[in-house]
Amino acid sequence: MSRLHKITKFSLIKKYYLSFILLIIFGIYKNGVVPFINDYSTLTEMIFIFILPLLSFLIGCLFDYFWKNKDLFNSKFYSLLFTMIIPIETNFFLYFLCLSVFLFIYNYLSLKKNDSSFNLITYAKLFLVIILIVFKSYNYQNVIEESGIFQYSILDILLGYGIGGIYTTSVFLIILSLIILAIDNYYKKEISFYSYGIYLITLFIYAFIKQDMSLILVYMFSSSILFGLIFIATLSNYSPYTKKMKFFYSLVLGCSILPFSLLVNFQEGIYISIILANFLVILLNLLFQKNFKSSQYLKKLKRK
Amino acid sequence: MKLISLDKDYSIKLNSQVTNYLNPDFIYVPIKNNPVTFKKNSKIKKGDLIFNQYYASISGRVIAIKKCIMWDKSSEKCLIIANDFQEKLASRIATRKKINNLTIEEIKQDLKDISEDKLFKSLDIKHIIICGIDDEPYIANEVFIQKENTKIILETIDVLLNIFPGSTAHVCIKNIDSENIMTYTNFLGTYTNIELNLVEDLYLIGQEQNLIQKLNIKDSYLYLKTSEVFALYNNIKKRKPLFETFITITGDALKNPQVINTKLGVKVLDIINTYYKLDINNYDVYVNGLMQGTKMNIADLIVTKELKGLIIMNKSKNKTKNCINCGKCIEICPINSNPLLAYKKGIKVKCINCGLCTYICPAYINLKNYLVGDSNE
Repeated sequence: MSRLHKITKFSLIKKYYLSFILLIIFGIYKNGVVPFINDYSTLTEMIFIFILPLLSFLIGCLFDYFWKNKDLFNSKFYSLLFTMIIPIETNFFLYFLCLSVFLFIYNYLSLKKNDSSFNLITYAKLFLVIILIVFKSYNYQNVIEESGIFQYSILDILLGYGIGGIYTTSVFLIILSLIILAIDNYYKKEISFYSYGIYLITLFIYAFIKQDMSLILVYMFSSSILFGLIFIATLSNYSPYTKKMKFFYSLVLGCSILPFSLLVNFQEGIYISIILANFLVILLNLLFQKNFKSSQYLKKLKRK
Repeated sequence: MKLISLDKDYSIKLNSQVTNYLNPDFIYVPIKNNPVTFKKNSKIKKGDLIFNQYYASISGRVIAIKKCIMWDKSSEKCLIIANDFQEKLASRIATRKKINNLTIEEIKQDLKDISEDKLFKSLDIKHIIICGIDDEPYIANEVFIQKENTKIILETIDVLLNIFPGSTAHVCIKNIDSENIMTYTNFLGTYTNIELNLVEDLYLIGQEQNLIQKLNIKDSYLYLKTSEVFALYNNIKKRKPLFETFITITGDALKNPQVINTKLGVKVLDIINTYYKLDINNYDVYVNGLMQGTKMNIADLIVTKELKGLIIMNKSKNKTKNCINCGKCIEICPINSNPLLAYKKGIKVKCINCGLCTYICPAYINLKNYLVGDSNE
């Protein structure tokens, strides 16, 4: 009822973790077990795929313990989320370096009670990608995909055999996660639905211009885009909370996904779009606040 | 205004009978900073006007002056009166036998607990709205006042109907208040101009604006709570001010939550020590409810007309976390305010002290206190 005695408990994080577990299990199967059974990878590589989320979670726990983090979405949550979106070929050392820097900045800002709404996870992802490009280990394909033996159909992509982040390839499970999350009152589902709707409109326009309607089917089920829209763009701390701002954010996001995806690639395009939408929302908020303060100042002057 | 239904703990159930606590050893009457006209050991009679609208609710002797805490956390000087248990009255005005033929002037003379301005703000009244709803979860004073005094309330409404000819009375109660629905339906046949209106169990539905909107009333109206109707009856029938009041003492820490009919000016701790053997420091005590009330130390709290009840809860293990920007406080606000502006930027925003922002906050931030300017609680 009051802040200390309410009956309804906050369970969104549990729903996030449930979704993560489903996706991670599939990721382990697709990128660890299948290549190992087919003799494409070694036992060590399979074990690495298996223990990576556990290690990240432990690092998150350590950060939470030392920083005494008071956030509902804490280091454990963000480190697990970050792990899911990295490319499969990521270097162990570079990954943990990036994760530690990201968690350090996140905890530092949290401790300082900095009201920054910059979506840190998108910056961390792009930072990691740049480092991987520099070190020439940027690759989203697992060993089987790299060998070029398989060519995925739409059904394969839906079932999760597409190319994408290490634990984010299953479109079916991502949609299932959306259903799990959307039943929670605290999940910003409007952002996912609006932006995906707008993205589909842009996709239709693009396919119409290109006169190739099959493009719609290929692009609409991109696991990276869906994961970004459902998990990253809607992160409560880094997304707008008023109805108008949510719509504006979704509009910018939905309109910019396709251009960035075509310009850069389908793995990173969504993150650049989130950064853009996030930045514009922060800018608008600042402008509104300035206007609000000046209007209050004017009111005071009038009263005098 | 957006109205919502609150999640309640249905294991917290009130005793069906009202408990009387009418013989306290001492009462504490607020005198604020006014000069004391009563000397130590001077005799006080029941009904003596001590200060402003504060009457002595018992007869006895003045023994001291002490600072006490009011329902709003303010500290006031109080006159301590020791009870002689004789209930000697200050005036011997006889009780009226009939009240349904009173004139406005006669009523005006006896008004003590309701202001003249509220009752007679207009003489062209078309609707008399009687609200029997407690707009605070777990508190049921209005419900029990009606249950105990149904006849009295209907008789007083009849008086009002005579004063405002041509008007209709609407008694509004929640559709979950089954006992009162039964009682009213038994009696209402004899009062043709009184209607029973059942409303949904929504938070803040009993507020004047919301109820008027719900009943779709556009003509001039008079809005009274059942407690005010009961006080009016005392004023015009017995020609005395109210010496007693109903308070609800409930919460998940209590085995026997109940509504208590107590003398005004009684120390709350005396009531708790009489009916509940518990160390109050081990619990969270909310005065006047979990939603609109405040958590406070009740060691020196006294019963006044404004005190509606106490919610005694087991100490919660939930700790305040950082805001996650979910925006639910803005969504739920019935007046479309932005509590986050007050919390994050310290900007003053409109607030009706409903507590819904605090209720919905997943991070357990007491946003209400930032809005009303008491962020230290």
